[in-house]
Amino acid sequence: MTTTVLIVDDAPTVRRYLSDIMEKTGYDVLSAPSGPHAMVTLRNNSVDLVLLDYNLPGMNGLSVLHWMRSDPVGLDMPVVMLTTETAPSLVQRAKALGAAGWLVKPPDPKELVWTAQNALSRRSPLGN
Amino acid sequence: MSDLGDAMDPSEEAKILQLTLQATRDGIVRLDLARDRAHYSPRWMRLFGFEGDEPKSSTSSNDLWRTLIHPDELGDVESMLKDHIYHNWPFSTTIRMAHRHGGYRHILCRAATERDAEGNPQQVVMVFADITDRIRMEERQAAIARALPDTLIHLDASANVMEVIRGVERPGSPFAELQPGSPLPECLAKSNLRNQIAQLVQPERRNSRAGQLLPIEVVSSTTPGFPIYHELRVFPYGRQEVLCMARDITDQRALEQQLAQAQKLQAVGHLAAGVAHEINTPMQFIGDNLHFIKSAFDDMVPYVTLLREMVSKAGEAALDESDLKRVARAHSNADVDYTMDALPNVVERSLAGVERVTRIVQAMKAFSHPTAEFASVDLRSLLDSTITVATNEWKYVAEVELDVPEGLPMVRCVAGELNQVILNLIVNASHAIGDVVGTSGDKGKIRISAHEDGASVIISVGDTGAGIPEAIRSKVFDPFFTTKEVGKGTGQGLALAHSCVVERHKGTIHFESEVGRGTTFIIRLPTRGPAVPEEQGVAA
Repeated sequence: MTTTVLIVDDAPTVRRYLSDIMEKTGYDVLSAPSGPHAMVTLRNNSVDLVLLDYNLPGMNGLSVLHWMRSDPVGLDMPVVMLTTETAPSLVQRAKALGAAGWLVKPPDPKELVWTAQNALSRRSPLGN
Repeated sequence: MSDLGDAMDPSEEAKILQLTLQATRDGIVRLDLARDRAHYSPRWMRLFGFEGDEPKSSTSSNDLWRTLIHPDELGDVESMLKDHIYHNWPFSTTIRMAHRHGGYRHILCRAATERDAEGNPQQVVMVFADITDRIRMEERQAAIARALPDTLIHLDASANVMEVIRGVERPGSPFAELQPGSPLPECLAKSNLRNQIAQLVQPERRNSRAGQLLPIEVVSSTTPGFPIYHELRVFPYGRQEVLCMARDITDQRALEQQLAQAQKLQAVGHLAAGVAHEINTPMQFIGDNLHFIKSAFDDMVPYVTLLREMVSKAGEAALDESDLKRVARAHSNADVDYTMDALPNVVERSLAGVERVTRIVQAMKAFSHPTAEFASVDLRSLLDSTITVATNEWKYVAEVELDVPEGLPMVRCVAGELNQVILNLIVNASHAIGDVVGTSGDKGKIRISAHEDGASVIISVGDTGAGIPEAIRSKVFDPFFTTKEVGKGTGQGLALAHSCVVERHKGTIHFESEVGRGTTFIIRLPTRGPAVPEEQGVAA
């Protein structure tokens, strides 16, 4: 059985860059340009891991994460935040919302794969 | 350095790294996880006051960096570092670290981890930057923000409340309970705040001076009749965010209203002297006339008494010569012919005088009525009473002509404020004419008229004074602008007239002036009052 990764980012180039890496590593990839799109995709597909941008138009990544945690489809979903931000307060909120990791854009391919694997292997929403 | 994008020659890279280490002011600690050793850069040692003079055992200790961290923060740092090393979370935190010579420094501490192909951590590089000055500055700014009586609200581009630094807010203020994430208070949602934010976050406006827009005024009220006024200023901030400063101007509003009322009382006080004179003149001749009537009556009493005596005597016997002589003498003493002739006129004039006094008192009463409500007003009587009240201002220098056609509709306005405006214009017109005619005894003319024009009524007050020089025409509505000598004007009259007509009544006021010929002020008021109900009070 394959593992499906959902990439949420409003920039097509970023989605393509991440898709390439994840596909080469052997994952199936879905993508969404915004939080609401991501929620729709989660409802209609079996997704194992979400890579979530912070600077999304409208609702930011942490709001999307908050939304996911209040909905059965996203409650236990491993989520790795992917962002240019490193503000400790944001990192803390992501941890509190059970994010599995935080990657600074653009991620090194090795680091991306390693963090994704790490997140998939733990699968515990609020543990760290 | 020019082609960082390409892969670098390892020796070149090492050289650049060396230079970077020399150039940076940050201290660096390298944790070798395999050998469980910590290595400190010279800069790091200096950052915390170590000069190389301390015993080697203490300074090269693996745990030295840990021992300097404030005990309250060490636990957090350890757990964050663990998350970083084993789960690749970013490590970036601000901590306090002891300086060797005493005191704590604020340190921004960041880390990066080198991993092998399986992702196992090999070594960690920690960078320590002393940001004490920055923290002090932030603390000072935070103190300023707290010291301000204004409430600072940090909003994102969609007007979501991100952060609130509360100032002094009275109970019932929409900002008293505002929290991050709470919906916009109703008064803000109704205002054009969203518009302003949308304009401000446009990239071309963001960092320009033009980024600042006009303050927005909002009114809110929890207790009917006790509105709370706030003035909002919105500044672009960072990226796609704005800072909104809300200042409670309720007290200022109350003061402004008091000031307007005071200006009115001042005008009434000033008029009082003139009015006193206006009342005194008729009262004097009414008094004189009453004296005349009294003395005529006193003179008449003996004559009437004698006549009554003669009438009763005539009933018994014929009157003789001496009786007739007594009557003739008394008639002449009482000056009966003159009295009969003069008295009707004297009474007539007295009644006219009483009527004049009554009219002035009624005008004064109408004029100083403190109503601040919109109501349907008969302009003719408003203009008439204002002219009467101001009589003493114009009567030595001008004739006043009032032209109001029959059937002019009632106008929805605040009578107590509009008559103040008209009064100011009449006083100004009188002064302007006075400047021309001086004490020559010549008189100018003040023409006051009102007529209907579509959905508006136009009131004009024109004088035959000196006119307004071109150079100052743009300033006549500015507060405190006056050309009158000290004591004759404070420069408030036209400013108040402008705010009353334009802001309160949503009308217009302008003037036409010709130097040497005179000036005419023209007011246009919507007959049905301002279109926007006054309670909403949202200024653009």
